[in-house]
Amino acid sequence: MPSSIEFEKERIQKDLSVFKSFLRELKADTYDTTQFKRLRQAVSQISDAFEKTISARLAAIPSAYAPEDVSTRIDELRKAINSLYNMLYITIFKNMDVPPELYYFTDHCLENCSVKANYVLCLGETIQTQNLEWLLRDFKSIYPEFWEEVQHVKFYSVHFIRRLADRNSSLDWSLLVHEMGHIVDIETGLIDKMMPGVDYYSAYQLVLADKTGDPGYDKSKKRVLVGEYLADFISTQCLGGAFGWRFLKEFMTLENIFEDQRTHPDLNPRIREMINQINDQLSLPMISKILESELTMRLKELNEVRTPFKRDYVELEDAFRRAAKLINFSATRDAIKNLLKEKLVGTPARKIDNDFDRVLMNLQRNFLRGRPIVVEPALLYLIYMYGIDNRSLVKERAKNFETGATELNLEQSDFEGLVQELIADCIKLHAVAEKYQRKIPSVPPIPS
Amino acid sequence: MVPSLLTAVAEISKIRSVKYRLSDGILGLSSYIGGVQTHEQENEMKRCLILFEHFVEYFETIKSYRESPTSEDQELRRKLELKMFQNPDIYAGLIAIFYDNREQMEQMEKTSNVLLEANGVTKKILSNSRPNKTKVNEAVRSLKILRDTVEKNTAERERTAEKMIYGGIPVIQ
Repeated sequence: MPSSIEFEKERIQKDLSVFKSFLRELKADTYDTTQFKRLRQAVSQISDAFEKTISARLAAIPSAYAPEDVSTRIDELRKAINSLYNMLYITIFKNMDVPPELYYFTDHCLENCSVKANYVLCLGETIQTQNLEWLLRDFKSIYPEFWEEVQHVKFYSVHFIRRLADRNSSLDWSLLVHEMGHIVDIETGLIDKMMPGVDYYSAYQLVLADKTGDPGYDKSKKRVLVGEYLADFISTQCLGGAFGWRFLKEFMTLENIFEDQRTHPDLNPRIREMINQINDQLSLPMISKILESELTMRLKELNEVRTPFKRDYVELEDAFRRAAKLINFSATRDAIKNLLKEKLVGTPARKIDNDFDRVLMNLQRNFLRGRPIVVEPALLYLIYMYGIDNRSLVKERAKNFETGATELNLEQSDFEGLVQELIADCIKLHAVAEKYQRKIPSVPPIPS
Repeated sequence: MVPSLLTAVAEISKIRSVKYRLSDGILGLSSYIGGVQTHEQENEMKRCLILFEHFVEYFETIKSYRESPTSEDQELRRKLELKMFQNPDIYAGLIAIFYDNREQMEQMEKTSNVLLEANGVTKKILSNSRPNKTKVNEAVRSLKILRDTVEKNTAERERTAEKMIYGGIPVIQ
């Protein structure tokens, strides 16, 4: 075999050594948080798999009549390895500056759906979830030994825009719960079980490729869109309408970073599904009305006519039913009342059943005067949203905000940012409380 | 529309999957001419040839479907659908590379001939027959020209997609 080929093979071995250095670097890093450990574990699995299989792979590459034919294959292998390395390497940088509260929030959403958190959040230019497997499958044909080792590695990078990394944008963190919904779908195989043979990535690739409506296109489109509706359903069920509200509020700015028309449902049926869910399953008409009026405004801006609602796919009913079973805490009116009963004592507690609106408005007033409440994030969003667009409460809500801002001598917009920081604090406190309560069993009553 | 990260991943996968399959054909046939191999290398040579053979079948199925006047041949529809889901990257790659514009579509017959010629000798090798050496050499030569064309036509798109994924960071090349 010509020595140039041996040299190229050695070069691949050298390239792979960067994974080891990378791992050493990761292990030495003082940025030792849970999410960082997750990434480290994924890199470690990949590095081990390379180490275990590379010699066999290089030995298997046949010698050819023309050395350049072997060289091309080695070069393809190098390129695939380097692409993977570069992607993992950039993930480290994109993972920095993400506030821990945001991780508490997204972790909590996954745990609420009984799914193990195995992802990192990355700052980027889009809001999207990327499954590491989608990159690893590039190796399937040219490096089958490696693929065999890593095909079950579960890891996701969830990308989001810089603005959402600020604690004073915590209302928009609800947008990331939609991405968590995608992870829940893929991890549990929820839709794959309903539509066998059409996994999300394959469907996505085919939808992007379609030009002529080849057979299989409709099936792919359905898989992708049902996945989007499902992610909406999960976020709505977990957060009680906050996702839909923020999505509509930010729709015009998010259009280019969140929405690809080929792979997402139209705005009207999409929001109508959420509105129906909020009304029928969560029994929170006050919240669904907020979405109704935001939708009307957005459609007007888009010069679109509001057409009567017709469900896009009959499969959605089954998908939603299956998803609901996975969710431990759904933000239904009753579940929220129960939460409040656990938290409140005295007169406010007694009012929960008969005067739910009043209790929430009082909580809002207190919250806006800086009094934290350590509860499920869904309730924090509900407290913030309560009264928007409601004829009898809208003035009171405005007054609550005005009083809070005046007391702190702040402009309204600065005050709203501060309130969102308080929401971030409460999310953090709630996560700590959950962890503490889980680790330390409750203290038995002292015998009298 | 800002090209998204996922779109970039999908773009790279589809381009590479077609290039890899052409390389499989070239490497498999070239190593057949190359002669003595170890047991592992011989297995790898066969594996490459099988992957190439499947790729040509893929290509021909799409071509037949596109050329079918009504596209209502149920058997053909079923076959294409099955192949699409078997490897969507290859399907998407073939559509993007060979059906993207009129010029490519006009070249379709020529491309198909190159692939079928190469597949003919591939099949002979896999069935332990001895193909004519000149024909194998000719097949390798034609496949290389085809791969160079694909490379030339997709290089810019692949680079853009990579940029989308890695951004402006210094990368190892």
